[in-house]
Amino acid sequence: MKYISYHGTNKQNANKILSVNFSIKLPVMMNNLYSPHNHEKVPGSLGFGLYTFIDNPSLAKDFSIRFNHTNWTVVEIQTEINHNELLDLDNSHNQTNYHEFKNKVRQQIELVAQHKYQRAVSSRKQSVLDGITIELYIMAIKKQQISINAVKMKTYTTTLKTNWVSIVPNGIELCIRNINLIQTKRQYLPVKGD
Amino acid sequence: MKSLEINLTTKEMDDFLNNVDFNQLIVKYDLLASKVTTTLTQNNDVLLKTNRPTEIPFNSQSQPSSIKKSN
Repeated sequence: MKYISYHGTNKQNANKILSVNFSIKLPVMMNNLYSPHNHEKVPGSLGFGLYTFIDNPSLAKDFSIRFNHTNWTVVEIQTEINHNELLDLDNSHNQTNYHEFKNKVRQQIELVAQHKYQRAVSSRKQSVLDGITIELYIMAIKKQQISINAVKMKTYTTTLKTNWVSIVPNGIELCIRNINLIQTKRQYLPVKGD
Repeated sequence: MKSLEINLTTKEMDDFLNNVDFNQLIVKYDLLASKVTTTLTQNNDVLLKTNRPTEIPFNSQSQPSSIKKSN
């Protein structure tokens, strides 16, 4: 299935994403060791990858403005993703299976996050727990010979316009984990009303 | 739209998690936090001792004493 999604960022990062050398770094599983050593960043709430909003350039823009102020920009990305490589966390069956996995690993992950994020803002901590857990979940799925190359879920994203957290999603996030899914990418030029 | 449905069984989850080295996970995330990335290979044993008082085995029937909650 084709997706058009939008990544809000600053102009420097946009140039990197638009360059031919752009890559998406993922952790690796070697000798049964989870090895995030190639990452300087921590995983986002859906794990590692390039975060985009499906069909919503306005939300990508508002998200970027929150962190980048006037230096914001939006990159439009077109992907082709087969259903058998997409982890859809809006699917109730997958939600149940993920939560069973999360309940098994919760205490260990909390300890990891405790060490890692003792100075982090508490409001961010929950999404970090999910991010680490999703990475492990995807690795467990890989044991079934299924490679997850993207994760999709309805989420709520705080912007300067809506500076409070709601349980009602305001967008659909698509976290792209494999650069080969990307068919085209270009700077998005907002139109009036975005 | 048709979605991929994940069917990890309890046994498959346990088999996978039993092979995850959570000590390594903590050490490496700690290193990312402190940006002391070169220390891992040089002082791995020291870090394991200083950052982790006990091992964290995955075991669905028990939990390490270091992460028991007070409530």
